[in-house]
Amino acid sequence: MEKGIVGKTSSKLTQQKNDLDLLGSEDVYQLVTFTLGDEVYGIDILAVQEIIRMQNITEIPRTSDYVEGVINLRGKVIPVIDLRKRFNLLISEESKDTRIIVVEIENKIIGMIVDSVSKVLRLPSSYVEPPSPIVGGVDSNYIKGVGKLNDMLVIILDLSKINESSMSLVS
Amino acid sequence: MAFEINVQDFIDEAEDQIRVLNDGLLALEKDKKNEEIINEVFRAAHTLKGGSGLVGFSKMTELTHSLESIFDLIREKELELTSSHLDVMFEVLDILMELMGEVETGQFNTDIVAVSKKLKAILEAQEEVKKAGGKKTSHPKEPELADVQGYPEAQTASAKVEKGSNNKGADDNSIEEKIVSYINRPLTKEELATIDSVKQNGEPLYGVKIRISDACDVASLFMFMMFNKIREIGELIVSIPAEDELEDDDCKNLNIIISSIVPKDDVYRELNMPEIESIVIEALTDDGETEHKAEAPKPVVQAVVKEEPKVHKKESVVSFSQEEDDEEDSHKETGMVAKDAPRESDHSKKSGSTTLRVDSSKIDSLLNLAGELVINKARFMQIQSDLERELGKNSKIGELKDTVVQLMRITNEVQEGIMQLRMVAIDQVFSKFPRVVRDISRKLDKKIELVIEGKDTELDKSVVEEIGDPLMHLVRNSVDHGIETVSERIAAGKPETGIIKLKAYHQGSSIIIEIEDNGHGVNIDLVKKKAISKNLITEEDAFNMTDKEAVNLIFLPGFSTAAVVSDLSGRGVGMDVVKRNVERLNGVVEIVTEQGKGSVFSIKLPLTLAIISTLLTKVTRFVYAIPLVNVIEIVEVAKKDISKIATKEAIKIRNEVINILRLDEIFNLGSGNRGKEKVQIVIVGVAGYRVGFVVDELIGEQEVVIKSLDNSLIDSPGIAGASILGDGNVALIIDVSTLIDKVIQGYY
Repeated sequence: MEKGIVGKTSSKLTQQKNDLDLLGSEDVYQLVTFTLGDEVYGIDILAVQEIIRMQNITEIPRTSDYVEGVINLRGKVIPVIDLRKRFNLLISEESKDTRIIVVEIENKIIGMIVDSVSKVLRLPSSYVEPPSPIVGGVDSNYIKGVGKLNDMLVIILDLSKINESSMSLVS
Repeated sequence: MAFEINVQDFIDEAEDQIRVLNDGLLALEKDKKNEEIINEVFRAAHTLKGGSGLVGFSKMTELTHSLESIFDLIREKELELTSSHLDVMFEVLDILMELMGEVETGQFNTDIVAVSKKLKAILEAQEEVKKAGGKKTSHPKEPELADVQGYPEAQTASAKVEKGSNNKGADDNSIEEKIVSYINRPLTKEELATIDSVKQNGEPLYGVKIRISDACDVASLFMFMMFNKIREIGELIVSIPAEDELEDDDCKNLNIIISSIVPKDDVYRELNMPEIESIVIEALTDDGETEHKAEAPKPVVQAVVKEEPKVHKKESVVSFSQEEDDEEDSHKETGMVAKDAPRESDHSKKSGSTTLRVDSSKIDSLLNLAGELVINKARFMQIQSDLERELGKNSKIGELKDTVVQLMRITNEVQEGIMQLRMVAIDQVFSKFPRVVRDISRKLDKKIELVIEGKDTELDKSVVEEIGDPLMHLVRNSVDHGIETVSERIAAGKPETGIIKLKAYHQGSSIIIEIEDNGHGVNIDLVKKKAISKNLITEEDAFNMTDKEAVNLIFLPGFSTAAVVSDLSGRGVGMDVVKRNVERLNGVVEIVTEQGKGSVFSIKLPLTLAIISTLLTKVTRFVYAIPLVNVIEIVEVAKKDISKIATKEAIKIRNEVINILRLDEIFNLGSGNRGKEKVQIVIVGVAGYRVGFVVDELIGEQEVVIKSLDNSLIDSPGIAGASILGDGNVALIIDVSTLIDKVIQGYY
């Protein structure tokens, strides 16, 4: 059983992971949850840098269609992807709840557009099951597991995989 | 840490010394008996030996020790310097440079055995002679080794610095009282135990009060992030609310007690994030820093910062007080170790009062800030002109305008000043070439004199670092292909020594570097033939080509004019790589050649890489920036004057046919403006080729700060980078040379 959701990103994160492990005898997933359509998704809190509102996005010519473009994040130019497009879900209109979650994946900072951000969730690993082949329309390759909490399902995403396959798609 | 400082200082110092060695050896080649230079080289070898010994690079110590011994003998006139000696020494120099590279990369695998043997052979041969002659000389080894070890006081000094920072004064029970009053509840047993152990270790305790901005959506998430940050810098002792009570997003206050050996200002910097409205850090213990920094005026420093959206507060508000001073102190102390020690024998230079060695990353971050300042300046100018448009002219707006102009002037000066800091003389690169020319011309049996002009011309450090390789290639090319052999030159009625002139000078905000040779020039017919045989152009193309265009064929990928591929240049990857490297620096490379008389390659580079002048244009709803160095002219052309050849469009300007590209089309932005009777076309050029970009609107010239698009997700051919405009939006910078290449290759 893997401890935490961190995976093998960086030694710094690993260090933090170890610290988190000390919090309780049981492994706990710490997730930022958000929605895409009716589904609730979770990503490792340690990957999240900040959450911002939608803003003007500058398109970059000839990139994959799920790459919306770049934004100005306080003087840094970072790419933004549309997670709905990334997972081949139906496209929805932008609303007042639409957010960009800024994450760091393998030392690269990117923004991910989601329908809304819910909250932080602590999920003991005993509540998490391995993914079944198709969940919520999202390829199970991107899924680390499915958490169940009071009838609610949380699909836990594996961000490193999202990055990997998106790279190969581009090239 | 002390060790690292030593290494960096050593590297800086050693680079200087190796340069001295290099120059010295080259000079000795011309005048083998020059005592002054012999002494200089001896001292450089000695300094290198001392320095490398101190930081423990034994290979370098071994080589420089032998080198020093040899020069000692030469100095004492017991050995006569010969050309073969110099050849070995140049070899040593190469290895030394390789070793320097190792020091920087941390990979130690250069083999020094062979060259070390050669050096020792020189010494042994001399010993033989000496024995035969029955003379006696002092062995240079003993006093020298003693020298290397002779800095115990320096080492203890550095050790003291490290100890000093850990030596914190532990307090008594009053700390607990402070904490209780801080968090407003009694401490639990566990907390008391933690505090106790922290006190045992003498680590300082800080109370941190954080208020999270109301604009922050998910406060609990944010607090989690804070906790993780805290764990990076120290230990979390108490927090209100506690970490597992953080589900409530309405709670905006966080009070924590942490222990950390990090200085308070660093704690502040680490924890300060955009979502924070205010942060107050209070030292609950005497943080011991006063110990080695007695003049610190305040046992309790409070850093309160009001967050404003979209302002780079992390950089803009920095408490300069302690950390800066501390750093300086430790530099002073440890600096003594590295600098004084190896320099013992080198009194000749560096008074210390006029120059300052600064870590370049510090200047880089300052330059980044200046970049932000430029963006904000642009924003101010925009606001001012917006206001003037909306409200018309009045006295307040006039005042604002004056202030904005003033701000502009100051910003420009700040930016220029920081740029100046990054400027280094191009000599850093040029100084490599006398050796290169010497080696290659010897190998090829050519006689060549290298003339260097303008070696003090300054340009940005980053440009200097990048320009070395392309220049090296061009110089080698001139030696290899430009200058003829002695017999050829005599047959052509030229003096037998060819001249290569390396020249650098400023022209506006650019620097021009020229490599001029008086060799046989580029044979244009040969170039055309070659290009045809390599299928780079057709016979028809060749026939229609001007000489200027034809010469530029040598910059095409896969072109190499040398009939015989030598190991020096002409591996078929030559000129196109030069061109690409120069263009990556937003520069342009051009060649002027005259058959039989020689060629001039000239490289035009911007003085800096961080900020470039661009022409801002609008294409559909997006702003695109075209580097001004590529812009040749702007024309307005009536729709009917655009002719269509197959799928390609072209216009005619002063009898020259120029292909045009519609940026909206090639960037897939949809075609919005096809109805217009007249279109704006920006003519751009790279190395003789001209292409016109059709844009919807011209906005104007602007200096922009280049932000790299460092992510494969947004890697797009034709886009060189991005920049942030005055209104906060992102504009893309067009990569003109890539687009022109695509036109040449027939993609568009």
